[in-house]
Amino acid sequence: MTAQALERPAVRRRGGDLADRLGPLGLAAVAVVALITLAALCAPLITSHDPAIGSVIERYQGPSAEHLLGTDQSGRDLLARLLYGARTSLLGAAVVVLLAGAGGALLALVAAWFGRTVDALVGRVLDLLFAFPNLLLAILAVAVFGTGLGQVTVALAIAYVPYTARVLRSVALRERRLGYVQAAELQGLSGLVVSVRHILPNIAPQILTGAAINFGYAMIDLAALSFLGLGVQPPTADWGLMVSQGKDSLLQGHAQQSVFAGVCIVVAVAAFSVIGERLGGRKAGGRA
Amino acid sequence: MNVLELDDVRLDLPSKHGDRTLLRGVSLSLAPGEALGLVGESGSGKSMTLRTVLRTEPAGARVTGRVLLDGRDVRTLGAADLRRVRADAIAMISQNPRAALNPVLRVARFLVEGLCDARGESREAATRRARDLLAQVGIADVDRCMASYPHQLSGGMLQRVVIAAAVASAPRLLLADEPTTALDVTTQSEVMAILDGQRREHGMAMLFVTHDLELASAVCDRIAVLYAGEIVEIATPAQLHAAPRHPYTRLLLDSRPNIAARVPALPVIPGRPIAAYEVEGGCAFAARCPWAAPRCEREEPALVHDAGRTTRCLRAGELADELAGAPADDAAGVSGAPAETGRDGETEARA
Amino acid sequence: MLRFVLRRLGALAATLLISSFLVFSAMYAAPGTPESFLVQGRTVSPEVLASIRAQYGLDDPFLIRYWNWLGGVLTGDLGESLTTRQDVASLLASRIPTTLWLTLYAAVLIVVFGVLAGALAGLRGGAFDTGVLLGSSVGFAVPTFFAAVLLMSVFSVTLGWFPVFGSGSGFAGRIEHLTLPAVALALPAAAVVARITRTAVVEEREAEHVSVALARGVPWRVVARRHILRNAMLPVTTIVGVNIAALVAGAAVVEHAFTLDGVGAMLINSVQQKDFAVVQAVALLLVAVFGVVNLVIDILYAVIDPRVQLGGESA
Repeated sequence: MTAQALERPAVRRRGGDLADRLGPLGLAAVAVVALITLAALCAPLITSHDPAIGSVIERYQGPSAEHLLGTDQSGRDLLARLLYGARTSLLGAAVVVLLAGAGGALLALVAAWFGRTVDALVGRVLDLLFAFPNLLLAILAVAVFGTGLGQVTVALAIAYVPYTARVLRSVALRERRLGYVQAAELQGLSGLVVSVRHILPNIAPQILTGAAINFGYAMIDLAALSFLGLGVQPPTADWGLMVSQGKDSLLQGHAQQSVFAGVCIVVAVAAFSVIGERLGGRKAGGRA
Repeated sequence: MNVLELDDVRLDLPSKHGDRTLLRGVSLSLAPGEALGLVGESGSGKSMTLRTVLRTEPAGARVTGRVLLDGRDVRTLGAADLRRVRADAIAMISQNPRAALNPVLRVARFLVEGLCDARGESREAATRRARDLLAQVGIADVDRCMASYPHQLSGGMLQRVVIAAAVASAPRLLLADEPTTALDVTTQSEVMAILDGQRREHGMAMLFVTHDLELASAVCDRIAVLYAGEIVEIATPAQLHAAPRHPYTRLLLDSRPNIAARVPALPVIPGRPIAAYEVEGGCAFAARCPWAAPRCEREEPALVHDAGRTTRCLRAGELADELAGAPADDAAGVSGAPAETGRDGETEARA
Repeated sequence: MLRFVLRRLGALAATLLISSFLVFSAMYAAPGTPESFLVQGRTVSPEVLASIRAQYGLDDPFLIRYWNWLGGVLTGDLGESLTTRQDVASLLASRIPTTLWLTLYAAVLIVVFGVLAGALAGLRGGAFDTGVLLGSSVGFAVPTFFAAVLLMSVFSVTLGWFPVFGSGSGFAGRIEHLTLPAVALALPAAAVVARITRTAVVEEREAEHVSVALARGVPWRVVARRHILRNAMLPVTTIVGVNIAALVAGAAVVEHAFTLDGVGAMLINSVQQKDFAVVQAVALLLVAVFGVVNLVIDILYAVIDPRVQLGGESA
């Protein structure tokens, strides 16, 4: 008897049509995300301004034909900064979610495959990480790795790993105990092969759902770290940084920069949380 | 005057796929101290009938017809009067006592609140009464039971608590919705005996919903058989067993397991039970009835009262002798399929 | 109960011990030598460097240094700041009141507005419910720092109702100065709490024991309070607790935005300046507070839910 001959249990949650599961609001959210992504990708086509260069003479201009959304304290074009800022914001969050998902999945698979001592050890490590508030863990990681987009995404990914690992571990453990996995093991397939070929595809839906839910959180946390001066460094355009830099202008009565960037964050986060909520059937706030 | 009278009670539940009729005109009456069994398959409308009396039907349901409690229509009562009726005149015992009690409150609170909060009695009097009643329903350690949380008690114990609570307000009418179905087989008869004893002692009338014809026969004065949201026959247990007048009743009697005679395969009523909203003209049971005549598909039979019997069958007169006979498996063309016998129980549990 | 608390306290102490090691070694692993942080980019003679190394015990083996540091922490000596040479313990002590006030204020706002709005939405339904649902969706997506900036812009700059900076003194002064920061800090958490409270209340409303109580003639008021809200508070307690515990770290963002002299702002500054003596102390303090808050929630939960068996594995 081969592993292929064994019947695969129908644990994969298809949940019917994807569009059906998203619903009208979910589809609208997908459209918003697509629009933002497109705008980020096509930034050079939409605006001819350089997001990092401006002339101080043109500072704090209102909307005009030249600067559709006006300029910031250094005379830089706000639209260009928002468009290029979308790149860092989306890319950063995507990397965080990707790394956290991969790290979580790896821990989950290792814990599920070796069980007993290793599983207990992974559990202890996760417990220890849970003893740190999420944001503190990220801040400490920044203290170690230093500031900058790359460092801060890694820092945040580390802070997210416990959450993804906890969810995935329970799913992987359940999968591990199923007949077909045990049969494959009895045939002498290596743990690596069975984990990658059999267990991983079955926890993939949870990885994806977790990623969708965490994306919004990652955007907020990344922006918060940039706001604190620990993340993306000037003159790179980033929404969180823009809110931060706009704060001083705002106290002088120029609210545009902070408000535009903040609204962009709110819209993007809301869209991602709607998608995550629809996919996972979870309530907002249930960090995966 | 009758304690309870249902007069052509219909219930429609709006759903995504249009209105669903769950009761198609249920009429019945209950004399003081009388026990009436409501018997039928799951989905026949037994529980829904009970719920129209307490007005606990699902939100959005449309109910027409009259539900008279001591001559007063329960359906038209204002909120305050309805609450008073619920507190004083009617008590309900539901299927699953574990779901009926708030899991985070002690048993004492459950017993007392029906008297204190609902009826305005003093806490001391209510507590005394609750303790007496717990002893009456056969609970040995009353103190411990009062101080327990629901999860610390067995299902049988909890149902005794529910019975005690129901009896506590000395209601005129007891509504029991399969009070023993969720219990262990060993405690079922014990709990049923306590319920029956309490009912007789306090002289309460009871509407007893069950899918167990035997059980209904044992504790009820009369039995009403429901099918697809309407009553097809009302009779005393003796009449019902000796000479059922409706083909459905006959088949229900035949499909019971019989301890005395082992049969190669239990007879099963052919076809599947239909829901009230699926009925389209003619007799609701015609599609499954071995005795159905062509006119059964066209004409809708009325509930006919005749010589102490109440039946809803166009051919009741012609079939009287045939239906009264011994188990008629051949004549009825009843098919045997043992695997299917569990189905009723299963769906009941889910319902 | 006592055994449960003692065991959890023991577990917390163990966690703190391991965390302290983790935090200490993480700072040790940070790129660059410790003395280069100490001299902060200034050029100094090798003799000075050697004396600095000796003063901070940098030539000792790692474990010895950890041991010395831990011994100091246990006796209340948190070392001195690498940048200002001030005593970290007294520095920390001067910062704690602001953060304490801020987080307590925010916690009250979360409980009052989050739970109240959610409970009313769940009980009442209708337009209020829709409003709370909508509000919580938006509130959840508004980052704390953006809320801070917006509030400052509207209520301090434009309307001038609240001061822009500072944390105030005296009760009234604190309230005045910390209102906007607390609102910004509480907003996302209150949104989540409102949403979850609403769901819990709606679910509990559908519970059979609720319809049983109503069918027994128990007044709606009593049923709502004793059966619906009481039971719905069980899951809500956990969520409220988790969110309040998270304020410990979240306060940093708000303190930074409003330039408040709290512990969080101190953490951010010291991370930026690589003042690891302060970072270590603050991190340890926050982990301890986080752990204690979580422990209190667990105990509270066990008290209000009789089904929880105390003494079970507390994983």
